[in-house]
Amino acid sequence: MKRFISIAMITLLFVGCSKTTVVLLDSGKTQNAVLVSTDKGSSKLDKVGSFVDLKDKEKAPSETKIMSKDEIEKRFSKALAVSPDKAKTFILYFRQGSTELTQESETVLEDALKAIVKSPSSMVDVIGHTDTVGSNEGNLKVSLKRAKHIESIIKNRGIKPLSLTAKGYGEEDLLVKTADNTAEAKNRNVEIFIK
Amino acid sequence: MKKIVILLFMMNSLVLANIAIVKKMTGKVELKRNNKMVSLQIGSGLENGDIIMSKAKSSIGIIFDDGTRLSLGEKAIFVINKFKVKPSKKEYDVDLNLKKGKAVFESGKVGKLAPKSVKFRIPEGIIGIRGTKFAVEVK
Repeated sequence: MKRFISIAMITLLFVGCSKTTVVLLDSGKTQNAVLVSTDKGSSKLDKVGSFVDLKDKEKAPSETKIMSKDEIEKRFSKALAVSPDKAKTFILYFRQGSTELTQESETVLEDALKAIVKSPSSMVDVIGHTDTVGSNEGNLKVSLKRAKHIESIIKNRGIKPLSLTAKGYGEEDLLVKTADNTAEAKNRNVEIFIK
Repeated sequence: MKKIVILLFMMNSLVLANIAIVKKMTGKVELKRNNKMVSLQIGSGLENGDIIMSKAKSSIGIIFDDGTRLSLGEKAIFVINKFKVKPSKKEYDVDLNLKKGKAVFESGKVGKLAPKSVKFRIPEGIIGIRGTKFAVEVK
């Protein structure tokens, strides 16, 4: 009898000792999925709360199950509590063919400056973007030039975040996805990215 | 001679630009860099190759250059093998490794621009992202 009990306990312990658990959380975005892979197979998690357990490199992930919101919050409470705030994005547009901001963007710039002052231990990127008309190289230059212009405005106001960097992304990170050689006013902008 | 020294120093600081900073922290969290242990604080910068270790009853939240967010619970070990997200050069290579503990990860710009370049390693394999927020526990 004693023997039987100890075997049962060992079995329970063994079943309960999955090593790694991966669970998909709600990102607020529609495109949200992870692919969990070992040497022996992969599992795609694409529903919020879906999870897999992994025991070994040499074993495929467990079947996908669903973890309740309560359990996620309980199990990951400490890590969730120190999750940094999302980076803030402010987008500025220029009057056509000029480095002057539109009236609306003047207001957005003031909002961005206030946000930077409020979060002094932040890294701030000023990122220039273009549409897809013209060459890659040309667009990189134009976008950096616009970004530097806005960076100088921030510097002149004496606002000092942890770091302030002007970058030009050219046509690599489009706000509105378009084909190549497409004029799109919304893609010609400078983004103030506060993180 | 002096000039050369200054030039080298400048180059060095350019190479070691921060790729992430500490935004939130509780308790004691240490960093292993070049085989030296350093205590982290809010605002501390992180570099490629850094190993983050949280003590008991401690936790840490960091934000990467592209807005990717990562937080760790207590007794975690997390390695930044590589974090390179350079849209101006179309260069993307992110290689992270959770060796122990609990983590919450949410991708930033890289999740939109080059999700397939992200490798989040765990002892049993790899988590690939598709524009993502997830939690992971390694026991």
